[in-house]
Amino acid sequence: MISPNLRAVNLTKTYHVNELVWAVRNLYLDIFPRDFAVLSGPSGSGKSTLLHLLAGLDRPIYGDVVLEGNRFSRLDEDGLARLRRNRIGFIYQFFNLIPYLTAEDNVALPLQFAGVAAPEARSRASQLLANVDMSARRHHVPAKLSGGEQQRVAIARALANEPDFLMADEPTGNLDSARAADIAALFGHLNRDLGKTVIVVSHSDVFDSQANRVLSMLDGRIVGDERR
Amino acid sequence: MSFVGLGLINVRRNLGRSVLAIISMAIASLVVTSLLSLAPSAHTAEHLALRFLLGGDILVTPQPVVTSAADLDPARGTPASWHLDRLPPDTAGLLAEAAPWPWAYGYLAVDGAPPPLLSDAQIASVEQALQGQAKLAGIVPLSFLPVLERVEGQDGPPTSYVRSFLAGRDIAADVEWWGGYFETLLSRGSYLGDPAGASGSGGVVCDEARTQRGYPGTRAGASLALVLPQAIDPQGGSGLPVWDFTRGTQTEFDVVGTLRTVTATELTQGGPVDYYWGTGAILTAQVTIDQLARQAGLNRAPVAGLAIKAKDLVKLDELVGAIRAALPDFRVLSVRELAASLAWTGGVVPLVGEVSGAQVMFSLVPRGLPLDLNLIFAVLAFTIAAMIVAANLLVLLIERRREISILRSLGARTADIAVMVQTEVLLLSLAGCVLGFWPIRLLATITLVANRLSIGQIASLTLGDFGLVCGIALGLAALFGLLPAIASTRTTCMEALRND
Repeated sequence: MISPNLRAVNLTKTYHVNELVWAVRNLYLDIFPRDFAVLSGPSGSGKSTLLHLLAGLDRPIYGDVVLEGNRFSRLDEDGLARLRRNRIGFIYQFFNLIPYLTAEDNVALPLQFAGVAAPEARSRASQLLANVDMSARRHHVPAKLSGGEQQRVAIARALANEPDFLMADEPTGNLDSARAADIAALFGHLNRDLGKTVIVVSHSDVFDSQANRVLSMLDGRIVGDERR
Repeated sequence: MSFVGLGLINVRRNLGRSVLAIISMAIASLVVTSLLSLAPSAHTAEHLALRFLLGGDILVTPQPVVTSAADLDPARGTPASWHLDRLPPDTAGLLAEAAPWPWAYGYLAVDGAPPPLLSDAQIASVEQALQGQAKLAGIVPLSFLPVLERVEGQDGPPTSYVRSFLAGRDIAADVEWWGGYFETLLSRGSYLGDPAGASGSGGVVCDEARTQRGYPGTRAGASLALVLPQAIDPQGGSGLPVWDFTRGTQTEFDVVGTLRTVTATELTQGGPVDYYWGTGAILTAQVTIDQLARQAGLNRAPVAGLAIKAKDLVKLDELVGAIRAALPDFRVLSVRELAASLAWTGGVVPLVGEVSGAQVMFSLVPRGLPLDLNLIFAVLAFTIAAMIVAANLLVLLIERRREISILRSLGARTADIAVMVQTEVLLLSLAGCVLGFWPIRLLATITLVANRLSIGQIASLTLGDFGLVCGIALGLAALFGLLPAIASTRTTCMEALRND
């Protein structure tokens, strides 16, 4: 029996936008090693909020997230930062690259946060960019890159510290279908060949062929868990 | 890219804000540097001029000298009535009883007070009390002799003579102490030499600012006609001489040099005030003044005070404190305090009443509010600089909220963010410090050099003050720079990203 490496326990998150909104409501979820889970559902169903909570980027009003025994509620912000740095690679829909740094420097950042010396960090960043077919563009700043290229840089950055978990919030939302398919294939490769646990929020079905679980959300709850 | 590197990039990236931060910090450090560098009125070089006029760094006098409004407090038993002594135009032949202070413009006298002279016994007691004082370099008696001065171009009756005084100087001590400054004057010939009676071969040095307005200024090479009095009662009723100018003898001196002293009044009002300055010292040699005193019927010239030379100005206040403790019955003032008192009075006695009759009544109550404008300026400059720095940091916090949140989502800790922000803030502050400190300090160094401080002393003072200014500035900047880092830990990454 394989035990989950990431668990959401009675997870609840609300917002006040004119009225109280239950973004995630009494949610329980187990994610297992090498899972490739797609969170799907209509807008406002709580997919992104759940992903942020699972990545430790946000805090629930109650409930907890447990990553291999580490309860997020017991960690301060620096503790969460350390956990994100070493265990979780996160990819935003809008990339969130540092605009004044080159692609290589952006990828090297998490390595340096982990204490890797600058020359070594640059070397490894260069290799990571080569893995996502971005070698030729590694000295460009984000403004000089296309959306797909920026997303590849963001993926390389997320993989920099070789995390066990790769989480992505609408990673293909700003890409055309061909680029989206490329990104999906890359995620599939990372999951199958490198053993990463992948959780992706997506509106489209581009990841369906790669995923082994599709989690459907509605009104802050998981209403379907399709295993393949 | 290290966090230090990120900080450096941000300095370049926000060049306008960086320049503003540097300027504001430069203003603040300039103010601190000014306060550290300059004694009161030092910007007018008054204390330097006073050292030359006094012949020393500390003045010891036998009775109170007015240096602040508190000195005139009737509740403390000090007379509230003072006058600026001046020879009445229609009574030139009257006996002149009092002597002017050698360091002041105008003779400030307490009504009914005895003349401010030191007796032999008092001089001996001061010398005895100061024996063995390690920081003391020498004691110079300030001899004086009241004279009437014929103003150049005024060949009228004695009523056209103005009152002045000769101040005796120990030339050997001057040369030893002031070195090149007086050697320059000495090289011009007969500086303060033997007057050879009334032959006119003797030389004097005058203060340029002593001349009454409307009369030609005293200049080197001019001839100075003075009437020397007779001491009709050498001991006087109180052991002090009484002078009779009606039996005076005329003597001519060559003016071999001039001292230029600058006062706050001159600077602020653009020129000498419109009444008689009158009694700026005419410096002459001790041997000369003693000889003239003998002609007047005295054994030697009277002494108005003692100038004490300190070994260095760095420990001047300490020496003043020690002398005050040793001489509780005397008034002890450093050149800095004298400069401050002159700054307070504007270099002269503030004029309140109208000129009327033979005597002019003055009040020493300062006009306007007794505020220290330098201090007010410093407080204002600091406040403005602090506001600009704080505003900059607030903008920095808002501008960087998204960036900081992204970095934290990638695993940066609070300390990492602090290093990035601090690098930027400290770099800007250091640049501001250097810009604010060195220009004003180089100006102040000129004064230190002129005051004959050694290179080691100047270096020690300068580096110490630079360390202090940088310490204050960088300490404050570091404190303010922590705010963005601390603030970033108060919200989760997503809260910051959502609100951006």
